[in-house]
Amino acid sequence: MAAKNDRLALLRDYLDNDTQQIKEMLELFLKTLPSDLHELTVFCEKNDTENIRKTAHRIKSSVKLFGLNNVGDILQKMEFFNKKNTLPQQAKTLMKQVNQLMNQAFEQLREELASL
Amino acid sequence: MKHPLKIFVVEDDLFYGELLKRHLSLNPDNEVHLFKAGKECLDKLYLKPDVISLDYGLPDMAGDKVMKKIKEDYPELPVIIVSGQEDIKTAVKLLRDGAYDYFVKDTDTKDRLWNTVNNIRRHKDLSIELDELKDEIKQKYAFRNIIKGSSPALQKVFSLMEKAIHTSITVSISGETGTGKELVAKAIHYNSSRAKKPFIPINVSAIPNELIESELFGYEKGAFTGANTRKIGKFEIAEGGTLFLDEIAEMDANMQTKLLRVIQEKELTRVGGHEVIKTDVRLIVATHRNLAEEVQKGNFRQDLYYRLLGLPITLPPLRQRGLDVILLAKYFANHYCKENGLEKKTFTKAARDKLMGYTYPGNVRELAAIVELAAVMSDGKYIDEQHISFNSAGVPSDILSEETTLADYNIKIIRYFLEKYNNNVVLTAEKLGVGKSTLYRLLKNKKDV
Repeated sequence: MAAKNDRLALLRDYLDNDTQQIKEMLELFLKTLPSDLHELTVFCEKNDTENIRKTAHRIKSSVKLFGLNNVGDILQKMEFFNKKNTLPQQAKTLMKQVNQLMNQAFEQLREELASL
Repeated sequence: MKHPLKIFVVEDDLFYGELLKRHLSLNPDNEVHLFKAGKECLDKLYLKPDVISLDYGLPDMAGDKVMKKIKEDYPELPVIIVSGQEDIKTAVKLLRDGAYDYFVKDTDTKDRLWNTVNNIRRHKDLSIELDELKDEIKQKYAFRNIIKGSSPALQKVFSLMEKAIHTSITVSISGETGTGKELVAKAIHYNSSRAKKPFIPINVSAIPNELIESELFGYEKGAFTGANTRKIGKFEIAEGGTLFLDEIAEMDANMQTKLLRVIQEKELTRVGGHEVIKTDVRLIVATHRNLAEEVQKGNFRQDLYYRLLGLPITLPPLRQRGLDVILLAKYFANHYCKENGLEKKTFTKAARDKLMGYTYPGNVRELAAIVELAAVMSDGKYIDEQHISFNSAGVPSDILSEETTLADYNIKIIRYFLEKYNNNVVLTAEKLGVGKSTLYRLLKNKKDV
């Protein structure tokens, strides 16, 4: 239970513990992030390093706000991808890890949302 | 007093941007607008935000480019850069280019942003307060509020002051002590385009000759014994504003030469220093002496005299301002009664005549003191002649100040009374105890009266 609560600690802090606002922001995260991850997955499949870099940079900070630092670290790696140093398989492997970790996190966060 | 603060948050991550917006909106005095791209923000700058929180890594434009565009039109607008990753080199460059602050998105972002925005709010509140105070001062120093009177002599002064406020020409004010030279200088400054910059008065006669240079131009550390730190001089403090040099005629010859150089070159060097500092200061000078006479006597440099003469304004002595005496007396009486919680007092006719019959060698300052005392001495609603006391004889001293013929004395006396009674010939004749025709006959002989 402690781990679950920690996921929302920063959010509570940002929103002065306002449950309604926490709920709305959690809903927004659960709505926007899956489509961002989907986009990123497609870019990884195409080995589109420019868009991998941009998208990873954009969502990295939001993910870290939920204490998902392991996902944040992988996204940071992807942020420094470029055509010369990136193997197509490498992007796909990292993306797979991100999706796995995020699916677990989404499940936890949905439970949190239901309990608010 | 708190004022609303308009904040732009520019952030391409919808979730992160919304979170910052909601966080900053916890303070109801913040009005937060969220933008997803640099161009969106630039298009809305006409809304005049007070601060911009700008993500460095935007999809359409890099943060430094967005900031550069913002600074082109709004150089004073604080821009806080919030970056996804720490990059010291970029941070230093952005701060050099005018960013208000730079920080990385991490667990401290919330508090740093909150504190930085609060600092900007405090700065804005202080700036607004300062502007309001400056406006108050401007009102206070509006010509008609500061210099009371409607005599023709004073109207001439107003007309010259109007000319002075629309230019940066040096103004030289002359007039007897107590005529209000510093008030006129302040009124010119606070009604001019320099009103929001400092007005720095300095009385030359009050500063020993050996200190005046460092007082005016400042000094560097170690310039002389006791100069433990650098000190900025009055010229630098008054930068963009007005420097009022009162009793300029008392300045010694050596200092006159140095002042002339600064006026000519528009630059100065602090005592003991080498750095040449550009200066943009409007000069207003004043003296109770006749500066032209001081030049003739060799006490004042002729070249400096012409540099300082600029627009000369001569303040009339109170004895030449006719019924202004009564107008001013009423003003001072009301002021003192209000200040001391006394009921409003009116001057009796005898009191008014007594006031009009005096010559006021100390001018307006003396009248103010006389009225203050009269207001205190009077117990009822009226100020009568017995409440008014003068400290010197009521003889118009300038009339007898030089030897002349009886005919010229007559003319001087008539002139004095005409001025005093606003050129009312009937009243002047009555006061002098002669007929109107006698007065006209005497005047006829002197066309310039």
